[in-house]
Amino acid sequence: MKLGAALDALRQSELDLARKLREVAERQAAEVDVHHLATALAEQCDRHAEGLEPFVERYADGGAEDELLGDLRGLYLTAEGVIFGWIQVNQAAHAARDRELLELASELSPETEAQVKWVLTKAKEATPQALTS
Amino acid sequence: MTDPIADPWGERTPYAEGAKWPDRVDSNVVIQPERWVQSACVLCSNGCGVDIGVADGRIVGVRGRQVDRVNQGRLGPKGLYGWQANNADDRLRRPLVRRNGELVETDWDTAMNAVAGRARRLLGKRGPGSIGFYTTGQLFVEDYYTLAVLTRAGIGTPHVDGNTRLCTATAAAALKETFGCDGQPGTLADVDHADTIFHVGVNLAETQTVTWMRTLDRLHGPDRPRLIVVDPRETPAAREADVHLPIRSGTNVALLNAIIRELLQRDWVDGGWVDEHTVGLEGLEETVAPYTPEHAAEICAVPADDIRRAAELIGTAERLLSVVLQGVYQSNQATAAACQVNNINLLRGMIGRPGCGVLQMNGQPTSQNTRETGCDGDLSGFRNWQNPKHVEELAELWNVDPLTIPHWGPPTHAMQIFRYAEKGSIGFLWIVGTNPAVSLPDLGRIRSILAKEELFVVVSDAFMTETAELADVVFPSAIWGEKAGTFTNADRTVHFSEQAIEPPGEARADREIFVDFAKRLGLRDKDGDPLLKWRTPEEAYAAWQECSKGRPCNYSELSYDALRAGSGLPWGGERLYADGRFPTDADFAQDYGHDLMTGAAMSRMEFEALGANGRAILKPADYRPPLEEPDGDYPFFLTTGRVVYHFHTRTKTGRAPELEEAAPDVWVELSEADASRLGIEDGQLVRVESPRGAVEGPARVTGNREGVVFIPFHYGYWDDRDGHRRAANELTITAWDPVSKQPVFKTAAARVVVP
Repeated sequence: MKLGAALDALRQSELDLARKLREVAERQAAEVDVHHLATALAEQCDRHAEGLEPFVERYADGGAEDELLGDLRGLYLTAEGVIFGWIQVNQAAHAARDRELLELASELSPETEAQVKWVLTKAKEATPQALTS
Repeated sequence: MTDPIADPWGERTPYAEGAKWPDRVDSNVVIQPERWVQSACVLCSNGCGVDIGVADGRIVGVRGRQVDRVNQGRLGPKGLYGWQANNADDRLRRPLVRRNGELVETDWDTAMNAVAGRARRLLGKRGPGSIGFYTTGQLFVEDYYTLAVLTRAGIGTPHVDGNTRLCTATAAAALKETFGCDGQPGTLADVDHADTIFHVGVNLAETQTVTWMRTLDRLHGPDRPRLIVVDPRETPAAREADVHLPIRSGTNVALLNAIIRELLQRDWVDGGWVDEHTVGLEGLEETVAPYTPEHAAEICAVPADDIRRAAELIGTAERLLSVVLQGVYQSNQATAAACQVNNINLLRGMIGRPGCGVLQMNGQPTSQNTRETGCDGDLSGFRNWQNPKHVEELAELWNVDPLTIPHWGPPTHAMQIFRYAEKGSIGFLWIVGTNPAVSLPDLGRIRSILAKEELFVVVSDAFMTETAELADVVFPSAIWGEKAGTFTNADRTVHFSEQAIEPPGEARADREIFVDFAKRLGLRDKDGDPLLKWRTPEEAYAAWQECSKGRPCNYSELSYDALRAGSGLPWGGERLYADGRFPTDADFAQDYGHDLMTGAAMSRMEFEALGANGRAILKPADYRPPLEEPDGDYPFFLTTGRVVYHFHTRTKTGRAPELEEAAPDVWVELSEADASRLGIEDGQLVRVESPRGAVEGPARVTGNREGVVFIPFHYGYWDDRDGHRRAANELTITAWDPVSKQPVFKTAAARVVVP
């Protein structure tokens, strides 16, 4: 079973996120809400990583991650970045009262959302087979 | 009776709108039967009521059941002659196992132990995901339900699908997207009442012969309904049509969007009904706005005025019956297009009333039951894999842990099962009553998967098919007439089929084979009792009745006795949705729907946000061109299809002498313009090539659309071992609809050469 590699990667991601949250908390100390919440969320991530540990061990002897899943993961992360970008543009277009840009954002961003849903659907279907059979 | 080969539809019995379709009893008897046994035909999804004549322990003929609602006595050529396959000399009579590369006869114990042993070892080593089943549209409810429980609750594998994926998956998908649940809205009897009939990608004359007889009797009756036919081929229906739209292959969505736009623009919409009974009108209006008749005419390459005329006939209809089949389901944007047909009937408020219906047809005779029992992409009883309560209901019924039942995603579709086998994560594939070595796309690839050393292939069948030849173990199956059971046609009519004769040799019903397998695997419920608690057909059926209770496909009132007393009874009544209420409550719905372009699954929350709650969902779709289009190297659109004399891969019809003589070998249909441009004469041998293979056959010059080459898909290699130049699927493309996952058989690029 290749589930071990996926579990280990997830644990690592949780720790990465915790580290980044703390870095941001430190860098943005003057943005007090960001500072406090990022610190609290980092603790959540630590707990998540800890919760995963026994399962990383349980499935430790599996092989490397499936190539298709790796690709889907990459797509998902990039597409989420694009969604973030569209959210920013949409918000800014509102503030700038740029009707044309607003129209563009409202026309195109649902397509990005559908892209993310597709990647997730495909990944959800492919993962059980790739990691357990 | 006229000659059913020369004239497959027989003498006309014209009738008027609303009148009873006159009876006409067709029969074919070779020896005077000692007794008649009640059944229904299994050679297409029409499911005509038929009595089987028996003499001296053999089937000696058939006659149509006059009392049956589906056919009122009539039978098509396949029904009249196909039964002879039961008596064929080359029926499989004993199990076979592969030894030193050869399939050799053995006893049931040896064969079954080999299969159970391999399954047990794989389950222990690699888990349920290493086991797959690929089944058919030919079994009975009793067989399917047994398989569903065995695989979902016993083995716990998501990899169970049928060849119904090739014929009927889009019908189910489109019904789920629009109405929240599978289930044919209309009835075949809507032909009696319609004043306008809309055929979209359906060659009814050849695929549902008897319902075409019914349609012809209306067309030749005193108040002829208007007929609109969408088909690139000049089919018998196209020749009868008021408007024939021979559109460019793969452009259904563009055409349907233009028709919808016309309905909206010309105010041919039942606004009050639409407001009350549907959601999504605004999105549909926006999506179809650019599809003027002129724009669609460019995409579809038919005159804009013909599109307008078709829309006008539909728009001014008082009772509209729409009929859909493979020209939609196996083509580009299958589910999206099928949904637009649903939308047309919804906009007109024409559903659930006499003559007002949608028939999202099925291909095979019992494909409806794979859908209902959960042997394809659904859970048993039209239950929703995304609804934990539905999964719990099944777990309680089967007395297993809900976690045993795979419901982390939709059950695996056929093409993905073969992909897993290709990649090696499926190591055991049991193929039941179907012939993927002829019927799946891109056969070179399919043969190489089935021949893989690491893949253990089990085949249950009545004949040594092209697929069985590649198996490691072959079980001989009892078929129609040799076992009792029930099955359901395309308009939800449930028939009981009595056992007429004993199976040949040691052949067994598939239900019995699965029960034996489950026993040898030691599959048990939570209390340690055997998982499958039935043996006889009646016991299996009773278990299914229990499972179906409370769901739309409710069989609990349709007992064997009730079915024996009558002759075909529909579940859900004559028509669904007569009250304009649709199964779109989130707690009840079978499916939460998909993005039609990508197939991304919607969550319960997204579904609830539509606010349907009992209303139908108008789902729009933009046109997108087919994946593979003709180019300089491959300038033709290849389309494959069916002919009136054959069913599927001819395992039965190829063994009925009259049918076999009527259409003994493959041919290639070309338009007159293409034939004359290439200097090809009618009857001349031609070769059709695609990037994947080649097929050779005599040319038939037809009135089909220019640029389209048609090849019937029925022909394989069991009776012609000369290379791989006969099966249309040597040429087809590995691709499927993103929502229904139905493979694409209607749009591949090809070229035609003279060898």
